Amino acid sequence: MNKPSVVGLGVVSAYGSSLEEYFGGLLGGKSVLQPSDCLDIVGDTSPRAVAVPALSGYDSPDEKIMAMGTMAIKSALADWGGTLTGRERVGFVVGSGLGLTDQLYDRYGNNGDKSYLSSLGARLAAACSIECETVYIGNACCAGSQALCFGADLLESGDLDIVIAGGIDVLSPTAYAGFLRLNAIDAVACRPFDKDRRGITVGEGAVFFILTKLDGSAGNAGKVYCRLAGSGVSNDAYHTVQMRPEAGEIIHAMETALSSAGLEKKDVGVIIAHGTGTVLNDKIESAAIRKFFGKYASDIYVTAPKGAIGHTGGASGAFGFLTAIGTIIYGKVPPVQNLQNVDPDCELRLVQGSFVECEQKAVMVDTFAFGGTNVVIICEKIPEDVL
Amino acid sequence: MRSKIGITGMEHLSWRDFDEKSFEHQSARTMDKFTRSMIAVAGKLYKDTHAAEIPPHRLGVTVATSTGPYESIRNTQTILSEKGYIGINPSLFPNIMLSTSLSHVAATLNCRGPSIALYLDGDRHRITRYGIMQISAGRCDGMLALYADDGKECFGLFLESETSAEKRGQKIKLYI
Repeated sequence: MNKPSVVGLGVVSAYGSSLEEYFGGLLGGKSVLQPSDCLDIVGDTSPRAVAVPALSGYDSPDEKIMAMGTMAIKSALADWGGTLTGRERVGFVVGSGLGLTDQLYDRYGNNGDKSYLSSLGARLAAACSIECETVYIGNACCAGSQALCFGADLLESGDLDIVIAGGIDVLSPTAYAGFLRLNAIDAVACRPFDKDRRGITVGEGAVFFILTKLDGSAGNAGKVYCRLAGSGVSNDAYHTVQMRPEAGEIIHAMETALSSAGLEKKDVGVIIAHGTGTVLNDKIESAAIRKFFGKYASDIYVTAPKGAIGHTGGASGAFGFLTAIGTIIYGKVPPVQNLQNVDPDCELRLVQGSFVECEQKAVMVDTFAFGGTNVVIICEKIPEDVL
Repeated sequence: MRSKIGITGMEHLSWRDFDEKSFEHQSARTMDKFTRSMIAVAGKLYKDTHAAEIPPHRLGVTVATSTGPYESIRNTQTILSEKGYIGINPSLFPNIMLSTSLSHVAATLNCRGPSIALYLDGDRHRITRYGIMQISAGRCDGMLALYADDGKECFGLFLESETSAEKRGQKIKLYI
């Protein structure tokens, strides 16, 4: 099976700008939730967020997202170590939930160009000297994971040899204000699957991956992190901001992802949950996992990075995938930060307190978006005979 | 051999000719014109192509744009600047996201297959790409592919496999 594989990655996160720093932050469990000046505009008394320290000097959302994206993409290309020069069968797929939205505030001198919002993908590619077809997915919280699926589809269709794909979002006062009005912000901290959870905390970051098939079309791969073995996408067809309670479409996406990976339920050892920390979402996701995996559910470790890095919007699925890679590479599953008392409605094998060590064959990554799109990805360890 | 893919329905709506007063939907009050235009076009395509005969999880939606829901974003940010978050209407807030139009289309027509929201930067001919990949991979039979630009127009195509069209007595108007 020659599935798309990850041969390079670049990350900009609150914990640092490498897989080691990011994953080390998750394992260590240190809180990086802090007061946020950039959210002052919304009129909340004490807004807090998980911000990227390296980007604290940027005021303009446009400059900030471009700097963050460029840093992550160039880092991914450097990590891969190959060159795009002279290559034609290359693609760039970026996922961002809100992208340039906050740049439309009058104070940033918005010039009324109505196509401005759609310029993000092409501008990021240009800033990184990537000359190729660009796809920009703006599908809310699942944009980043859907960018990975789209990239994998482009490779599997045989159209391309190399795809750079990932997700990015910066802290958005507009989104924060909306979440406040939806009563979806937890003033204490994001506490996925905890009985006292109240909602999300907001975060930011960027993760990009270099994907290719290991058939020599992209040159000899130096390092191979994992393969994107399968994916499933469905829509709840239910509500703009609420998940369908019976979770039938989430389960359908899980089934599709696993079958397209050629794996069975017993092969999945870890789930990187969407785990937003909102009351209903965590309950519905827990029920979906239990229902789909049945007797295997009690054997599968479940973690949720949003407790540590906040909800990074359209980047969150890409961060979920990065967490899956860390789990496979380091053989450790990070704990769900801020999880004190597990909600009885969320009974799963949640990793609580400190990380657990375990070797895994396959990790499932869940992402569910406002708008109803469900994206489930299977991240699989590369068998030694393939390397 | 894989079934060929083609277009069985096409629909266009100019912003100027769109009669919003005749638009009826139980959630119309919370929708912006951007979303209403997409639902109007999608509904017409769905009806004309008899897409209701396709199982819901085999029916996908692509929503694409170059402008995004520009006016809703601007309105929300104006309110936020003047009144703070307390001035934001939680029912209207989701209109700042492209995924909200997608959600309304999918929920209205019960499309439970693969769905995506794309920013195309003027390159509107690419609205068929996702649908073709999903149908080719056997993940769905049909795809509503919708494109809207705020203040201008909305158009849509119904993409499907030849096999799917034949089952419902539909003719492919244009092969891709």
